[in-house]
Amino acid sequence: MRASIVRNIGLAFVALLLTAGVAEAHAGASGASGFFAGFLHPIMGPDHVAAMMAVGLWGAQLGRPAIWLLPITFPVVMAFGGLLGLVGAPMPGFEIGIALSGVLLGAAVLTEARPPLFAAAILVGIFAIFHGYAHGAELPVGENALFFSMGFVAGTGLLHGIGIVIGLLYQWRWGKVAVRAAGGAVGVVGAVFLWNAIA
Amino acid sequence: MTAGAICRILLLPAIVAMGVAVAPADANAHLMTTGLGPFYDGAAHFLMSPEAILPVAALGIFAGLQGLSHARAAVVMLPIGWILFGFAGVLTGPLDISPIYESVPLILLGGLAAANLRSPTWLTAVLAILLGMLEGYIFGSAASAIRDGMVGVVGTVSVVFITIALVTAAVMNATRGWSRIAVRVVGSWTAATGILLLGWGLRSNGSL
Amino acid sequence: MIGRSLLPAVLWRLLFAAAMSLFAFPVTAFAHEIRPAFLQIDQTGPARYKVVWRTPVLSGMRLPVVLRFSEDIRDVTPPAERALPDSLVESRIIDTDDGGIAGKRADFVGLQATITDVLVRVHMLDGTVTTTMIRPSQPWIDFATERSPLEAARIYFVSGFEHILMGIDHLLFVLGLLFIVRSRWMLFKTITAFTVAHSITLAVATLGKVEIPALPLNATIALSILFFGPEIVRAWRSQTSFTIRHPWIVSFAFGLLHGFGFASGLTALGLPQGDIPFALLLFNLGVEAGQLAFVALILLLIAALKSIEIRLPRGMELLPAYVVGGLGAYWTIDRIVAMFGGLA
Repeated sequence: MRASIVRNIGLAFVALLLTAGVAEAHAGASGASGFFAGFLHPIMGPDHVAAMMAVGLWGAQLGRPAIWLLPITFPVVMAFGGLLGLVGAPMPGFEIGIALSGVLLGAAVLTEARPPLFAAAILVGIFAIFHGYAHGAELPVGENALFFSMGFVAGTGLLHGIGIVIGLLYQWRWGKVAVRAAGGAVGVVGAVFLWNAIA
Repeated sequence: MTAGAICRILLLPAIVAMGVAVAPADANAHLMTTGLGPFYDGAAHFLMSPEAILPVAALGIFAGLQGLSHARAAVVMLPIGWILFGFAGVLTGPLDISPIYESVPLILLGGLAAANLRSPTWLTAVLAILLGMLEGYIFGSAASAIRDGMVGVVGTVSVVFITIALVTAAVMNATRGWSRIAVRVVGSWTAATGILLLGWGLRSNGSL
Repeated sequence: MIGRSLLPAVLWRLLFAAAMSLFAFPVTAFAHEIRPAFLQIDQTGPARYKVVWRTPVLSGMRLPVVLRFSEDIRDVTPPAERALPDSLVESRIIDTDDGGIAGKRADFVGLQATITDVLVRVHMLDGTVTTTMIRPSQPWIDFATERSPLEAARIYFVSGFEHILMGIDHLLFVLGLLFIVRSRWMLFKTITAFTVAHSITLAVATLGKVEIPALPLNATIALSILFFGPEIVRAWRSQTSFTIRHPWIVSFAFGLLHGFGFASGLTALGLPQGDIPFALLLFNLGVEAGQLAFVALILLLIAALKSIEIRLPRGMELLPAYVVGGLGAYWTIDRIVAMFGGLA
């Protein structure tokens, strides 16, 4: 019991060290504004928010190992997409890809689709690159790059976290309905954006 | 298999980073003046530098997840490399290094921590000493700007030692499934931050 | 004992010498505490002030800082300089045209190139006293009309915190205690005893009830650290002594001494005559916070190193004892020499 408390304190220390402390400590040197700008960036676009939460929902629905594989691999793949966007690599039709990701991920959650893990991973990975690319291409100049990047990754991770937490409801019968309904809502949002992207 | 996949994903940006031509950039040393003398200035410099804290923490996570022998290698080797190259940095003076290179340790160590690859102990030791040499040299050359830069390096290394020891021990003693996943997520975020930072550096560098 | 049997004595001593020489340069940096410069401004008339500007002299070098008031403040008497053993004192009378120095500025030209802080104490005729700490990163002071109690509280708390972190001799003493204490309950008793003792003498000395000359005091504080060297060796060898059985009594006795040391730090800040107890309390709280942070950090570090199973290499187990004792001995000699007026 005591050992686990020590462990938790240790982990809390690690987490604190890596997020809040680092950001706050720099408040004087324009770092914090960069961090919050980056943090807000993924949260401000409803199409991104919907897709990120759908990833978390689907991961929770699929259960292990998807539920922990996603939050570990997704940020890295998405950052790779961001890198492509930052250096200006061409990627035609990424807006359609993003809108499509909302529709497909929402539909997957709604219909409780259970493809093989690698197929799900590839699908999510491709969408991650689209989303990352869109962010990378439109990132503002003049921000503190490191703090903005940290905030950006943390903001994305938070959206996943919310999705996963909602997805945990899936273990109860009424929760199943709620999760599938949330998936349906994501699909509708995605469909609206898809309509706008094509039209 | 999944670990291998992550490794392959990480390899490409890492190689790109290595291959980028160095463009002389401002040594972006934000030296702190604490008013408490060079020892605390050196310590504060590290605590205010997430670009150094993140890879050190990622190394601690990687080593802690691997177990005792890795943990010991990391905690002993990192400060040794850091202090030797820190002194060398003070002697050689200010340094022009492209911030692009700052992303390499984040990507490499963050990726390894996220992947939780089974690896031999000597790899951890080598990674620790390489990270210590790189960061030690950067911090040492920045500390050459203050009076008693050597004392500043000792201050930095003290905090680095405390940080790596605490992080490694905390991760090593985290045996619950979810806590091990949580620290791997931290590693993954570190790698993702590094990849974005690399893209940023490439864009402002104008080399692509 | 283990060390001697496994390593030839000569080699062991060589190793020890090498390790000690590593510590040599931080020691020389710490042994001379960085004393702040001091600017005192006392209001003598509606628009007239007496200014005393004291700068420390470090090993014969004067501080390369010049005090300059803004344009609309003029000197009534030219600056008169006086040399003290450890500092230079410059006094003058200043005068302003338009009612007081509030809203005006004094620059410390050259301060940004140093690591010295400046304590500014302004004493107005109405009895208000303000104390401000000026850092090299912002080498000027804007004389404000008034300062909130919260701001004053923050300054005293922070300076107490910084004082213990700067006082490597106090920290080393606490470290010595940690090496000797064997159980959690004993640790609690020992640290509490130290805290109570130094709080008592800090209060007594600050309120001016007792005065102890600085130089013998510093030498005795150094002696208290030297005292721990042999005690740690005994504890390591599982021998026992009065200190190891009752560390809290020893920490109480020496804590009384260290409290006088803290008092010198507080009086250097310049005390407001009106609210000494308030300043005393917050300074002491700052000291306790710094001390607890240090103890927590050391305990965490020891726990971490234990779980990673990192120990000192064979033959070096007694290194911490020798470091504590060695530094204590160095300071004792250094301060006794200073007491009798230096070597030259």
